[in-house]
Amino acid sequence: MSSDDRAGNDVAAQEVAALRELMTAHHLVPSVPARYAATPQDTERLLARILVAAEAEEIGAVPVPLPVRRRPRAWQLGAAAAAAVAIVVGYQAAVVPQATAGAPVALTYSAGDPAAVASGRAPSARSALTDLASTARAQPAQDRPGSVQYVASAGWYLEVDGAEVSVTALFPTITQLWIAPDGSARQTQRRGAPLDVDGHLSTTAIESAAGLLSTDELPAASLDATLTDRLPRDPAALQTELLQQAAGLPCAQDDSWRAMCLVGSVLSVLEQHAAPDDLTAAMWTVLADEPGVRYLGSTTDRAGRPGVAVAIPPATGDPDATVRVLIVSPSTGELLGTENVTLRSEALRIDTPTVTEFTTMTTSSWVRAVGQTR
Amino acid sequence: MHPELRHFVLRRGGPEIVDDVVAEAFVVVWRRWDDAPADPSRRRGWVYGIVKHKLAHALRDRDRHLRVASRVVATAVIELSDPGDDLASIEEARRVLDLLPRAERDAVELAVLAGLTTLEVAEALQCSATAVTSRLTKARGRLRRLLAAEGRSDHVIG
Repeated sequence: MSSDDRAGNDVAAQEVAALRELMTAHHLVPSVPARYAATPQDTERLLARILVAAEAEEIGAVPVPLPVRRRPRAWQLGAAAAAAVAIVVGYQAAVVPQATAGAPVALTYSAGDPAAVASGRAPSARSALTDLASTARAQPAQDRPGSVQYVASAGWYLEVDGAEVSVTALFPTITQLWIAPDGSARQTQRRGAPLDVDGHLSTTAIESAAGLLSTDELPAASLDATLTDRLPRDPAALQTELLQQAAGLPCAQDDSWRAMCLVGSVLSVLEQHAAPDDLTAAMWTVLADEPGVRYLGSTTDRAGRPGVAVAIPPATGDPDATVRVLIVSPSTGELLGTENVTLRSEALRIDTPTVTEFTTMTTSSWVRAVGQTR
Repeated sequence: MHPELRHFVLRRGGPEIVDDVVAEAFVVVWRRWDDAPADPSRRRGWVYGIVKHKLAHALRDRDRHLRVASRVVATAVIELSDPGDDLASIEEARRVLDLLPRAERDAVELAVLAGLTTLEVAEALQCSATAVTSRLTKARGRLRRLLAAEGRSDHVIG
């Protein structure tokens, strides 16, 4: 800092001090009543709104006048959650305490663990995904009692304790999304009942009406209602489409990025649309050919359903070193949910594998009207 | 930053818009995180710049609603605050500061109410530190005259 800068700063500091003195003398700097201080609930609501906005933006609900990160959906939400935490609690990663205190209990897998996926020790998922594709393809045609797609899911999101400016827990959120034939949509998100201490969803959480947080109404043509009917079933053509959806990411950089791009695009379809089984089958076939997709074995998902788990390692350069896990029903081939397991994160002070986000799909169907669930 | 931003918005906008303004500002912060200054000393000012932008929008919307509402409703809104509590003091402070020109008021709000450094204020207002100091100097002189005109000169210091 030059002497001129120092002198300028001194002048400014003196000016501020004089102004403060003047304003204080005239009661122009009154204290804020304690009842208006930020409570943990305020901070929770704030984070929920950020996450809802992130989700809505990802599905095209919010005009985006400024550049946004282009990442596969679930990874982006993970980043959004982490960014929201960092923003709300402060910019210094050092102020974020151990995040694992509130993390969901990790699921167990029969054939390995996320660390093995990251290190390349987990086996290929080719055989498992091929079987799952066959299973999905063999399913009877899905009933379409109406023309509105309805997808519901439950997930855990980070919550910040505003009083202590610390990450304290991950709380469950129920998301419902309806897509009408004209591309209009409604998304609601509400807090669900807490997870059981063993990390499994309460069976009553879906029915809970408590804690409605938001409803976003999207105008016609906001979403592509014909996407799942339009996407090709030929694996090669579908792979091309999925990679195009991830345009902007360095999908060609290496296997990890290619897998990240494909999985991100697959999830953006399956987590938001009522995908026909033949499309789901084609998706698993595409992923079966990816060397970056690894097999974790059988598991039980957070809704208590049997599942087959496959996973992809962190993409090269991912600062949060997060393994993405997909859980698929062995009896129907449908996607049951996803898990993000962060192996280490400087920002979140994670140095042991920690579930930092999960989504459990509860419904994917066609209904008669927006707002209806059957 | 959440608590301090809430206080800032409360002082300048009132309790009814605090949640919306702060939440919308943080959403913008998240979306534009890649644009955030790498220098941590500038980030705080950058965030406040976004908050001020959202606050201005919210106040404009509120003013518009008040204009189309009946005088009775507008009066009722004003009378919601208990004159005996600190909210009334905050509203009175806001009234006085609103008498300052926009550029000077912005500098005063950020430097005095929010406690930002001169460089942070400059970042928030997208101007030079010298311009901030100049605005503060002008604001102080104008504020003294305004207070004197309101018959509060006996309190004037400096």
